[in-house]
Amino acid sequence: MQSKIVDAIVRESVESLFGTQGVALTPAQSSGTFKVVAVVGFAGARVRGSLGLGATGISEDLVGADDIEDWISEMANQLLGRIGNRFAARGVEVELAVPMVLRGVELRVEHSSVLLTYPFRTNDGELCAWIDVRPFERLELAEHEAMPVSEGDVCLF
Amino acid sequence: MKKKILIVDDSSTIRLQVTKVLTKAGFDVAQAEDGVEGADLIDRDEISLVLCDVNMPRMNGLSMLEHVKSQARHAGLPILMVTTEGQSRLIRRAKDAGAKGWIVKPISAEQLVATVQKFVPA
Repeated sequence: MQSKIVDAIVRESVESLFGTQGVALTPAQSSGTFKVVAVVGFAGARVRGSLGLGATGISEDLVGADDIEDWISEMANQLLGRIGNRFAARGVEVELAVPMVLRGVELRVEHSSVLLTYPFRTNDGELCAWIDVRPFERLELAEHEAMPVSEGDVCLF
Repeated sequence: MKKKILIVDDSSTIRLQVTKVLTKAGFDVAQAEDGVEGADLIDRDEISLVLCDVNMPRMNGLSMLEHVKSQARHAGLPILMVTTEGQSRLIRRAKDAGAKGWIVKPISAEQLVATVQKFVPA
């Protein structure tokens, strides 16, 4: 899998998703520890993997949610949905699992060569996405084609 | 009497957001956390339109759609899928099962209300 293409897809997906939520993101170094983390698995015929989203100090006022755990779970789901739609436009379809949320005083993400990480600073703390993409065999992403529908689209039958 | 819209989504954040928007627009809103609860409410309540997530535990949205639409008494009930996913294969499955639309999150409040009102005038 061409990691530069995956990198561009994930970075653009993170920035556009949180833009719609009114969360200003500044690229930053990650401390690697979080208070709440959502993880979603994905799998298809050609690839499998997982996506994580960790945060510290997300203000409830900022995100407009009563339940930070539910919010980060939904954000992880929407983020992986965006990424999956962009993979599909390049010929790689995946199905999403239901997100799982972990909450703790200090959840640590161990960096490794297989994880692509996207750390950002927000006005209230830190937010970091990471993705582990594991193709079953050597996988080439096709030329980008138009997505059948994209975020915000309403398609009536 | 106000028309009742059912939102089926495992995310309380989404249920809350949709409920606020549709209540303000003049609808009653019922909520379900997954397809099992959603199908049950559709059977028991006077629902005018359903907004249904796809990726949910217990019974996902497409399974709920197929279950509900397999019953003749719900043939006329408009069901719109509201999801993060936009793959043709899933959209085709929803259309074949009788869904009236596919909405990709996030959607603006104005767009949501306008879409609902196409099927159910407030």
